[in-house]
Amino acid sequence: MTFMYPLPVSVSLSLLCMPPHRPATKIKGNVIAEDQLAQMAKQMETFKVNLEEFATKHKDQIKKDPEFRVQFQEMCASIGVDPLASSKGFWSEMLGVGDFYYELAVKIVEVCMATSHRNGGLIRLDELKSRLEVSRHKNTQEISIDDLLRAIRKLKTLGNGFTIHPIGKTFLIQSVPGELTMDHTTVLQQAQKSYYVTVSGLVDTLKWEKERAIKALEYMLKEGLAWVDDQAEGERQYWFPTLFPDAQTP
Amino acid sequence: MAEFEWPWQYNFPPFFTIQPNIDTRKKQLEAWCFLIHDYCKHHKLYSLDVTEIQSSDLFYNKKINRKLSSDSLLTVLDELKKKGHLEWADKSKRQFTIVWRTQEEW
Repeated sequence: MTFMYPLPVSVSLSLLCMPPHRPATKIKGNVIAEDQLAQMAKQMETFKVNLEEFATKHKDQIKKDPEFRVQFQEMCASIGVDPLASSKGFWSEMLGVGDFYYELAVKIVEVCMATSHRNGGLIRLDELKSRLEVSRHKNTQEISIDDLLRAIRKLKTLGNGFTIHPIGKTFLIQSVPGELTMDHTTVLQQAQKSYYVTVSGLVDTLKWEKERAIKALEYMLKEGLAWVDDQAEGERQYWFPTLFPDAQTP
Repeated sequence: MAEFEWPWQYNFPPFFTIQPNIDTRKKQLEAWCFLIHDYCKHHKLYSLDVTEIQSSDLFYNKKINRKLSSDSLLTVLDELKKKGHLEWADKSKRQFTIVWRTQEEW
């Protein structure tokens, strides 16, 4: 389909003053743009076909190799295909990637529920990973941090509940609804090394008002995310079981 | 005899401070009850003296320098009594016996 540029029937004075080649360029421009669009669509189609072919050929590898999975997912994202959007899609039917992530998501929910009495519904991504690995059989597929984050993002579709908080270099996964503000995640970040913080410690390092530190810590106590220790030297310490290492998951 | 396996809480300093948050305290007391029960079973203890047990490693983790105060200890033991795993031997609450299995469990 070619788009026709409507030429004016009566040529006004102002139009006469314009460079004569302008409408022609516009027409030409439109034609080129359309050609390109059609070509792009064709290229995308070819790319998709190739990707499908490629995926079918490397089905097992996608299932087995976590790194391969990341690359495949990134390719899909770049052409605007979400292989996880539906379990009825070509991708999940052909490759089982859908099943893989849905199963993983169910396992994630289980682990989060089983550990929430201890950590108040907040778990370190690496602890989640090692707990999942323990519960899985030795000869099943390897899982990566990327797989976990992908499965958790899919869980968000279910509504409020799962949130990913970047803390320093790692992530904390929140499995119970509850507001964690920047202040709270900052506190957790401060506690990452020693597993605890104090009010004056926060005031010193973050240059916070004392009230702000107290408010954040009180909230985290209330939510069961923090425990107090009154036997420490100096002042009360606030400890975070989420960050504290468990002997069972080294 | 196999070595007693301490739960993660035993190395967690706030475990030795009774928690102000009610939900957290509930979990804490529950964990203490489990720990005392398992510890006594493991070491085959049933008749105990409060003063003696207070300085044992059960309530005093020297490694992290934390111990349960007398008040906290009584709170924990009362909880154990509520669950039916403890009987006081005297009115002044100095001696007690640990019931490894409650009557219902037998």
